[in-house]
Amino acid sequence: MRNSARAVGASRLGGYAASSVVVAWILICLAPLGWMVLQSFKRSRDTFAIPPTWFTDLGLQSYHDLFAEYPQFTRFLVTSLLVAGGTVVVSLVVGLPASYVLTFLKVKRRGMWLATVLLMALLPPVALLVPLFEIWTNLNLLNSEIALILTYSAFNIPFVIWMLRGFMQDVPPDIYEAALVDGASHVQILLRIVAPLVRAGCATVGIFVAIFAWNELLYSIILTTTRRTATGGLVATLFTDRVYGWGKVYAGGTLVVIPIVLFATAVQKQFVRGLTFGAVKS
Amino acid sequence: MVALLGYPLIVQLITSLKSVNSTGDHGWVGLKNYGSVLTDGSFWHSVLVTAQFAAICLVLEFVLGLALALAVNRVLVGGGPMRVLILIPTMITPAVAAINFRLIMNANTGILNWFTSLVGLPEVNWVADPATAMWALAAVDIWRSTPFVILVLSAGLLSMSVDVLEAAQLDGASAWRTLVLIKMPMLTPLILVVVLFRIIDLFRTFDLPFILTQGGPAELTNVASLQIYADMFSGYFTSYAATEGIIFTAITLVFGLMLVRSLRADQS
Repeated sequence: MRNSARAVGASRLGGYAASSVVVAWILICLAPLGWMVLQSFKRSRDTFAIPPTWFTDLGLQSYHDLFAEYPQFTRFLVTSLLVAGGTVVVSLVVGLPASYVLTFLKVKRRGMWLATVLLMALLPPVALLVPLFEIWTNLNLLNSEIALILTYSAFNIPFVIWMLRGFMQDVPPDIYEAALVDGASHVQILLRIVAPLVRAGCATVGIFVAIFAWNELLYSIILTTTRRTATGGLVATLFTDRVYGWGKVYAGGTLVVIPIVLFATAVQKQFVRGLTFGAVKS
Repeated sequence: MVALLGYPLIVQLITSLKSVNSTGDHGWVGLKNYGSVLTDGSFWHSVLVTAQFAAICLVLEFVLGLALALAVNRVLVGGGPMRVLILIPTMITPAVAAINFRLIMNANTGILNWFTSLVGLPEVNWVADPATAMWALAAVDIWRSTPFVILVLSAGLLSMSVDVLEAAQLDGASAWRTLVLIKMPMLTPLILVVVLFRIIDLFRTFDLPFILTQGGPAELTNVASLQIYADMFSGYFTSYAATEGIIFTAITLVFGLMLVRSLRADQS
């Protein structure tokens, strides 16, 4: 008895210690985010005050200045939404059938195809900088949402195929075979039977692809000049312009970050699953 | 997919075999670009910097991630919400995080130096001092990516069979021995997943150094993606950048494949 009581006491003590470590980590990690949001509400003369000001004289001045001096920032945010949505649609429209074929049909050299998909998922995006820039220049599609949507889709489709295949493998083969016996075509099976069954998978990859597109920087600053996404616009227009008035950069950064944090938090189960390529099914 | 990624790859290959720059296409040059890239000290320097950056981050993220995963699983109340809060740095747009950290680490106006001055430490130019630049960069990546490691490992630890752990406890194994001799081996598949994912991601790092250090000081943080980006945008080295892209991709893929193999071998 005494022994087990002591063990419970020790594990409780360990629990408190563990909790304080975790809480400390969370506080340290969230402090920079809190600082950025706080900075965005300060007056410009206080931005770089040393010692720093904390909660005095806060207001919306920086946000007002941001939209007054950079009216295109509204556009950047809209473009971000368009590009994120478009990328989700394109990568699902291509990824869903591809994944279906690689899961259900008897494809020659399936292993080789799957290995190719995995290799494509490993490609570092910067490796295709030169050809993608040339291709979109030649097609006269630089500075368009289409170029960004198709580029982001290209980088995400291998991931989408791989993830959806994981979900499709959970579909009972009986259902597929019964539909085939009933004379349903593959298009019908995919649209009427498989797609509804892997809805959760589509949500998972869709969410992850949307976050990727919203956060992407490299191709956003290379492929576009005025019709930028918010992330690219913030870096290449506001930050690189060396604007005098960092409050605007803080305000813009807050406007880019807060929607994506709220979104990812709301759908964190899918976010986690996507983050780990399906390795963790929390 | 083959069209979307395959076509750019072919264009890439063709460009790398030619001499192309902003003044136009100067015809085929065979493997000349490959020869010059492979003997280019600055290219290999950038590959080494990438490897150094990846190694520092990987080790620290893994150690911190494992320690915090063990801690998270022992939290008595509020473990669920804590997991969500832990994840927030991973959700934040890396480019915005980098801007924020650059201003925080600014030598004269940053709040970090104000904090360190409170405890009497000298002023440090975190992102521009050769002694600290790489560590400043790594710190931001650790801030951003450790949550991923915590999450995967904590899920792995939770799914472990309680019987085995209880048996170990009854046998009087210490917490440390249980961790090293039982938990770690059982976690191996997930550890490999974590390592593979982190390496792929660390090799593609662009946003953080692009904003935080811009490759400096003295190219000490000039990772391969920055090198390729800069060569392409100088305008004179289009083919050169394409070739660097191919060689760097090959390095990444060989490395990735080796890891995938060991992952497969372990699972079967």
